[in-house]
Amino acid sequence: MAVDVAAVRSSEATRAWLSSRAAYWGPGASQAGFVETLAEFCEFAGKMPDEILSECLRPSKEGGALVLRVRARRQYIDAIERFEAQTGSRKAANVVRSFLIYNGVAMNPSILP
Amino acid sequence: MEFKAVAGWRRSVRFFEPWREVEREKIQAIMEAVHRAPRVLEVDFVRTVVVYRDQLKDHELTAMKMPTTTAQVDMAPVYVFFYADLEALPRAATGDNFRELMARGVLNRSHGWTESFLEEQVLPYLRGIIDHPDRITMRTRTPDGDIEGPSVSRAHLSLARSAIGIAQEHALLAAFDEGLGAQLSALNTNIANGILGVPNTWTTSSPMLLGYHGESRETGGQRPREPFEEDFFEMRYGHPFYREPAVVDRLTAAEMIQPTAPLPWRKDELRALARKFGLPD
Amino acid sequence: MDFRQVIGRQRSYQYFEPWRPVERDKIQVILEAGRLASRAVNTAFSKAIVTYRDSLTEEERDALKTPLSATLFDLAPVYILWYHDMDARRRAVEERKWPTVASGTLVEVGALGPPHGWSHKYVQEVILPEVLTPGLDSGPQRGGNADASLAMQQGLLAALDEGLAATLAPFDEAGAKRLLHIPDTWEPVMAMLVGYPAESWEAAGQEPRPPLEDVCFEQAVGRGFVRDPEVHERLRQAGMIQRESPVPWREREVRALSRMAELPSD
Ligand SMILES: Cc1cc2nc3c(=O)[nH]c(=O)nc-3n(C[C@H](O)[C@H](O)[C@H](O)COP(=O)(O)O)c2cc1C
Repeated sequence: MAVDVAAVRSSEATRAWLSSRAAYWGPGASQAGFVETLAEFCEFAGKMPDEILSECLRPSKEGGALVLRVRARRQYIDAIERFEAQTGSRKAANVVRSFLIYNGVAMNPSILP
Repeated sequence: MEFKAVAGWRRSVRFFEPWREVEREKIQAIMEAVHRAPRVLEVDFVRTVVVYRDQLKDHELTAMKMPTTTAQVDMAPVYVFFYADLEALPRAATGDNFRELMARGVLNRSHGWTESFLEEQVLPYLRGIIDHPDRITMRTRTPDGDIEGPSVSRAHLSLARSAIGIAQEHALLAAFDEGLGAQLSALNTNIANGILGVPNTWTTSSPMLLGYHGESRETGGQRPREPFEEDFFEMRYGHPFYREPAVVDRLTAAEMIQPTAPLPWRKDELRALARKFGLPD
Repeated sequence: MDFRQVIGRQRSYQYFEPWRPVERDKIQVILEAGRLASRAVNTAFSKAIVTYRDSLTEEERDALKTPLSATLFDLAPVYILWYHDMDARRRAVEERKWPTVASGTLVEVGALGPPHGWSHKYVQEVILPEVLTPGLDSGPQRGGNADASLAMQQGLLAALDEGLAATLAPFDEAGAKRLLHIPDTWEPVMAMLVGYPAESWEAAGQEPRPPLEDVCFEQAVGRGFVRDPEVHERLRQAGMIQRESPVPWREREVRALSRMAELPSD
């Protein structure tokens, strides 16, 4: 799947991520290259940001509140690990993790040795 | 360390040096402090299990994680689990603990402590707690459904939980007195109990993660609280205990009260810690 | 005072100087210490109410007593009754008035941030609905809460550090409720009886405990934590471990204290 970086940038989940991250750390925290990295992951996973998110947090059966989907979250945790192995970059993988975290899907990689 | 400074420097530490072991003598000092904790109604409720992370298997560690406890588990080299043995109160209801304290001059006739007082007043009081009709069945959650444990009165459970809290308090402060960092943090105790071989008559609360600070001792400042007047009253509920500013100054000088989070540099520190441990920001 | 001595000084103190009031600032120190204790989701499960023996009539005092605490209420000048607020979590979730996990403060102050996987959205969409809200429908539940006694015990240690004696004992819930207008959602923890000790700091000596290796384990239940005697000795020198009860003079001390307080001695 060829991913259009502009489409990744304009997706709702991406915008929510970048704006809440900037609000959290303040103007000092650079986000240069983040969208490109996320787009690489989208290509790797074959999913766009909003799709990834809606798989992890879905409305409950009764409707209304979102519920964290354990299995989907687990699948993305594993996918990000594979992405890390393929790119050889913890930094790149952490950009993807950051995307999910600011969107409400908690995760942690292993501690670096 | 001075007591007040220990209380002031105690914070929930959430970054530990994962590579640094805790000396066993420090763990012993903590466990001895727990052992000296006052006993609720003189009952020997408390049990503790010291667990070394590196002796656990990876899948065990992963299974113990909870939504509120994540990277800390990987960083802290030691966990201390706290339990109250629910069979301890029925054992104490034989009166033997009290008899021992009477023999040792702790509990005396001056306060009414005689064998007949014990038999006629104290032990029925304990039985009243044990047999109280407002009861709850302890349950262990497993993937195959709940397993029922003993039925205890809520008053009994309340005493057991108090005993755990007192023990946790001693453990936390002793850890900081030893120059360590610590945090109470929820782990999946159903999983942990299976791994540690805990009987289903023991009830628990959150374990303590223990290790050397991986973040500054300030941890970004003392965590904020609601106003003092929300929690403490005098003579009757609704009449707040007046908070004298001079006392706050005295406690500030003694390092018990310290600047409230967030210190201005906390977010810089947090991002640096993320880099230090390879965590996302 | 050195922390280890404060721990070592703990006793079930039984004899207070009933005539000697406790300075207000020391009572505040006890409460301030309690306030700083660790508490789950940074929520105030612990509450306390201070009252004074001399502000109560004899009948009112009697209303607080249980078999385990009767004479203590006659001798101690200050009573701090500690409670577990069973409604604290609901209020934290619904009102979000104070700096708790529910209100997002721990994320905001950088106690729990993105490096741990936390964000405001995680609090809103996962922690609130999946961790903090379940069970609230059932209303306040009795059965205690360790948090309430973390605060109480931190207060008790502060009392000892301030040169006061303090003992925990059960009190009569209904009596206290009537006298002090306690809310329905507060469950009693313990009364802390506070005053200047009329007995020596050693009191009867340190009270007995089961052997450490019977109650403290390493890696699995049943594998007793074996004490290193050298560490034990160092803790003894530091004052955490003290002479075990009974100290040799205890009987005479108790007789003298009983005479002084006009209490029965034989
Ligand atoms: C019983 C108990 C359980 C706790 N569980 C967690 C937890 O699961 N995760 C966490 O990050 N902190 C946990 N904490 C720590 C509290 O969040 C912390 O004590 C509170 O925010 C006040 O901050 P302080 O300890 O730095 O004063 C727990 C505390 C207690 C007493």
